[in-house]
Amino acid sequence: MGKYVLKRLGQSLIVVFIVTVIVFGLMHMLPGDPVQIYLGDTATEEQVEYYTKMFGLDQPLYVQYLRWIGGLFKGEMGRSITYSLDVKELLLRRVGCTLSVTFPAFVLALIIGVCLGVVTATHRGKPLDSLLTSIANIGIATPTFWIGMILVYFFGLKLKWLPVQGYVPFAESPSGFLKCLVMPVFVLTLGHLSSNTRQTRSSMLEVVSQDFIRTARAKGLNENTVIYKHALRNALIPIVTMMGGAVGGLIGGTVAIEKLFNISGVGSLMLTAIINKDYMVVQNVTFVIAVVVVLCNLLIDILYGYIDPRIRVE
Amino acid sequence: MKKENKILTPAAERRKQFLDAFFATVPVRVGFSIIAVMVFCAVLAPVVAPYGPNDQDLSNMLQKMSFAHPFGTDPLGRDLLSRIIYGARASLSVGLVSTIIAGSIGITLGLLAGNMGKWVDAVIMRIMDAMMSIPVVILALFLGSILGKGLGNIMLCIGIVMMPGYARMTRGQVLTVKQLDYVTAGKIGGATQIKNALKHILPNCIAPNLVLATMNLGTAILTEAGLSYLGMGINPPTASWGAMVSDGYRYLSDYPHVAIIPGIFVILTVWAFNVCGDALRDATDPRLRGTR
Amino acid sequence: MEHLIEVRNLHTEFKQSKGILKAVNGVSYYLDPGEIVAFVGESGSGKSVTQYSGVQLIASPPGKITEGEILFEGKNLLSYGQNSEELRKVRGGKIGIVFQEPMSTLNPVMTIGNQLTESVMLHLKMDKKQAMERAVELLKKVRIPDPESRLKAYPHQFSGGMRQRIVIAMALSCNPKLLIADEATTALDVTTQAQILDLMQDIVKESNTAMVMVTHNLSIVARYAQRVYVMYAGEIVEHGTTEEIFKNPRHPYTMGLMNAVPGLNDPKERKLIPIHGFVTNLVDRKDECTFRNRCPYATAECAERATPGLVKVPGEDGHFAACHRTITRDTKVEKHFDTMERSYTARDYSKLTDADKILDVQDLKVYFPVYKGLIRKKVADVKAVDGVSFEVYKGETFGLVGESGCGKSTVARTVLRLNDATGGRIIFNGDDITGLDDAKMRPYRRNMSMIFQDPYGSLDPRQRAGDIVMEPMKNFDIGLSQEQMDKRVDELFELVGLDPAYRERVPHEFSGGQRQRLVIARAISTNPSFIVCDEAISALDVSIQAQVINLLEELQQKLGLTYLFIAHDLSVVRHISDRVAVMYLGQMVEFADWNSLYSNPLHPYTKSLLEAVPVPDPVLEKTRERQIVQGEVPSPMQRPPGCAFSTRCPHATEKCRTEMPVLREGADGHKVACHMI
Repeated sequence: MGKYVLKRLGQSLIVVFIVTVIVFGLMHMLPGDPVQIYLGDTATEEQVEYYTKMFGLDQPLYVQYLRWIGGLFKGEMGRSITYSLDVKELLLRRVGCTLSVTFPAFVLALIIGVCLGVVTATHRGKPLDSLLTSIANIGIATPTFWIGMILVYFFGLKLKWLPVQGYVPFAESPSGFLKCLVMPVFVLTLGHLSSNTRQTRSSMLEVVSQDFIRTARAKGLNENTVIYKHALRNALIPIVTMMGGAVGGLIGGTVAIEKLFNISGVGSLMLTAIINKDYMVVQNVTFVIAVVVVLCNLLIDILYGYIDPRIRVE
Repeated sequence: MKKENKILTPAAERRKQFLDAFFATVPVRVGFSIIAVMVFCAVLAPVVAPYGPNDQDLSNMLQKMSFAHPFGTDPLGRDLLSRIIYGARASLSVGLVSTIIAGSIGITLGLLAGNMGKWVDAVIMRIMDAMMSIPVVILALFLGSILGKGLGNIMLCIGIVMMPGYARMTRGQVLTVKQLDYVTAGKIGGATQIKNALKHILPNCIAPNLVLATMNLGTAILTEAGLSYLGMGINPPTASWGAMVSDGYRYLSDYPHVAIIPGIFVILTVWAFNVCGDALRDATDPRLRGTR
Repeated sequence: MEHLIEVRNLHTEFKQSKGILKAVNGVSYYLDPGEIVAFVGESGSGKSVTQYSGVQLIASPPGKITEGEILFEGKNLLSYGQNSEELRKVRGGKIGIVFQEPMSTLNPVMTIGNQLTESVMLHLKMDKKQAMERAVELLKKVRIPDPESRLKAYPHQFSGGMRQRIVIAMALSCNPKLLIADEATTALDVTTQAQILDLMQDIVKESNTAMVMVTHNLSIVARYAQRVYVMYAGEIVEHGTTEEIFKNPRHPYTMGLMNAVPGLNDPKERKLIPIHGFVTNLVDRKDECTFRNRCPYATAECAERATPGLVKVPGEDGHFAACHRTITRDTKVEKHFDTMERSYTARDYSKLTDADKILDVQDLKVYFPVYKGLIRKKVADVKAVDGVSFEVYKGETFGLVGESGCGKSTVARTVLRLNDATGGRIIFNGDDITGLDDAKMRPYRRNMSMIFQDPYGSLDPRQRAGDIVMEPMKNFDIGLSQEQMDKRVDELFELVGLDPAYRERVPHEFSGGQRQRLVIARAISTNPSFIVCDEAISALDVSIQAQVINLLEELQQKLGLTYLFIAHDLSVVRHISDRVAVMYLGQMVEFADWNSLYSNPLHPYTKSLLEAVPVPDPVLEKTRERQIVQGEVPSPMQRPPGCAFSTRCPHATEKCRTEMPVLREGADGHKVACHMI
């Protein structure tokens, strides 16, 4: 087990390393001189030269790369040009509201999705299955920004039950915090909920057709024991595997949602940074997100060993 | 004597079985029809659309639904139906081209990784892992900001973002197929490694990739809509469903149809491709029939 | 007297896209307490579906029991719902089931302790602690060593044989009245099979439990069953006591089955008589004798009459057969499908020289490295093959037998250079091919070929049958034009008994037997002289096995082929081989011509193998003395330091445990590796 974790950790480190190379490489492929953009059109040549030196952009590429990585090790991420702030600080300020949207969405999508998946699988071919499966299929096909807009139209503009946009920190007003989050969380949940339902359903049906389920039935166990004790745990194995990707998907999903609901989180930070070519922000935030995803995958792989004893031994 | 008409050649019989399996359910028939209509409209947009996509009529801004403008008009007085028809062009072509880009590069890489093994495999797959650890939207935005806006760049960008999925799947498939006796039989029968890979391994890795591609057509359209909504998609004034939703958002409280209708078309198209992808998978792998 | 279970006129159907498949069509049978009754038939005969119907374990939909009564202890089980409380009390509580595939019948994510206790707690109303004690007791009963600590283990930590023991323990956990064993030992090696079957027999007899054995293996029936039901196409075609059925079979299908399998005591000249043709399509079945199209005794009258019912055989008590005619072994055959004779001449090996050798394997070693840790350091070798030497002469069939994991398939693959050899030499037709790379190996490949075990996996599902057979000719460029190759494909199809009109078909449109014919056609397309048959017939039904064996023999005579025939079925190897080698844990333990090996086995392992194989003759089985070897084949990672068999050998001494015996030659070239001889 320890060796397995070590091996996966090694692989993850390599992946993170490649991510830094990709991100750094892409940054330097971006059109335009960052200093020029930073200083604007009115900058003199001396100014450009001065700042180029200051940011170390006159150095060879590998030196710049090593400096970046070295900085990351020290927890330094450079400065945002648009916000005139340390990227690290900026990120820490923004991460709270993103988490308060993504975390509930992740949990809800997982729990409700798995439950609905089990329900559809056990009612296979019946009207309830057809109904829920059809809704899930439509849910996957629906753009988050569109469904969010519909909600805004009904609950925000017409019924005025919920605020149209914005974010209120919990400390300021717990009820305002919750009200603000209802729609974003719902919207972000929907797509993942749908795909979790589909995944669970297909995985359950696959497991239910296996021999050991027949064995369980041959023992005279009642159907609930067969489904929840014997089938579900096996069916969860592929779903757990998908969770790492889901974390990435959720973080990506916040970009549109934060724009729609005007929440200043990491997603909207990324969007404005890309539009304003705030390169240090883009580079470092992308890196941080990738590390989070890689860590989640690693965690899941380790968790996997606990769910599936066949992996544990090696 | 009637029976004799029914006897088909094996190839025709196979085709018939496949089509029967594919079109087995009502949603697939509906989905397939939707795609057919969309493709028809996209190809013949100039003929089908009642107005030009960019014909502005400022005296008729933000019209509600009427006979003259079945879906109404947008803030610049452009006919929404016509823009949706032209938008189908953009959506479908982005879906198709980016899927082809993703599929062709991804399958090639997967085939290389699975067949060569060792360091080639390790290098390719770690790069794919790295790409997959950056969320799709963020990688696409990132790539988009480098490549710039515009139809071609969006296709390339979405194509690159989706490529690792194909590489991963093809590699997994190659590793499975490689173990099978018929590949060994090919070797015993004198096939070289390259010939074996192309003749026995590749064709048997295609079916799941086709299924993935059909599903990805929908995902690509969704991604394009998302990028256009975020303002990183196709350049205005070219009609794009995602951008139309985004533009209509400002008028939501009084003219909701401007933003809502294009979104419905995104849903219909993506749903249709997903349903067809499901059916394709079930038809190619009868073991799975009805399980998803 | 009331029977324990009595089934009357059972019908089970499966809804399919093309119509309704009547898998069980009016089956009636009974079992009395303590009886062992066999249901025998080939795949698709409905023997398993019949049993599962009784406890309503068939998937529904598409399956449905449409008619019949199942009286178990006087109550009709079919009156209960599929998952009703009453039925669940019977299922698991009073009827235990042992399934075929031990690898997949246990839940991989639950400890065996939990899996064992859950039914005990449910049916015997025990608490957790009592149930655990009961589980230990059960594991002891099925002879699992160290049961207390093994309760916490997961299924994958047990071997196949051990898992099957656990499944048996589970089936017996609530003291059932009836045990259903569905091909319970088919997936296991012969020695394990014998252990498990003896174990089941002992337990069942001791507790007066009735047992249904569902099997395709007539020899098992002969050894263990008291009564037999022979099933064909969803119907019972013959029923009687085991002795009567074997002594005086009255249904052509029963006779066909018996003629199709080789026995350990058959004369070498006996030719296997396969059952020709296929089972008729059971979708929308007609009211007629289903065996008619394959029956060598069928007359015009049979075609006009309805499905025959079971009729009592005059003069014999409790013997019934479903045939319109009165057939005995002496009845004249109406239709000959094949020639009946087979000639066998033993050859004189002493006169053969090196020039007659097609393959010479010298001290072959194949080790697979085991890597561990972050830097993938090599920590050990799995010695799959460790110092095996033998030679194969032109035109002979060299049999290689042994249980799974003995390295026989590795030998085959290495000889064909699909694996690399770690040591030793492989000389093919006088040339050393041991170290050749793929490119240098190719010219030799033209002359060697292989027939695989799985007729489904060895054909590219996307290739047309004609292309499959033509591919090696094209690859090796054997100097034929396209038309000549086309013609040769047709000839090859005819040679292996396939209709050339099927050239355009893809593999899944053929049956298992036809696919294996196609594999054979491909194997001989470039006119090779040497063919490796790796378990070439073990995936096939018995009647099809006979067809393929006969085809292989016929081709050998016509084309002068040499076979390296690898199998675990000792009777088949005996039937087909000239000389036979026995392998155990990567080494050759005994080697001789077929006659001396089978009539005078010297190595204790060979003896135990032969003793483990049942013979299809109940009278002989009764008097036969058997001593089933205990234990299991050790993992090749932990091979005993001395003789590999010393851990299981009843005669093992201290010397055996420390010193590895060498293969020594005795009289008539009979070689054996044992210290005690």
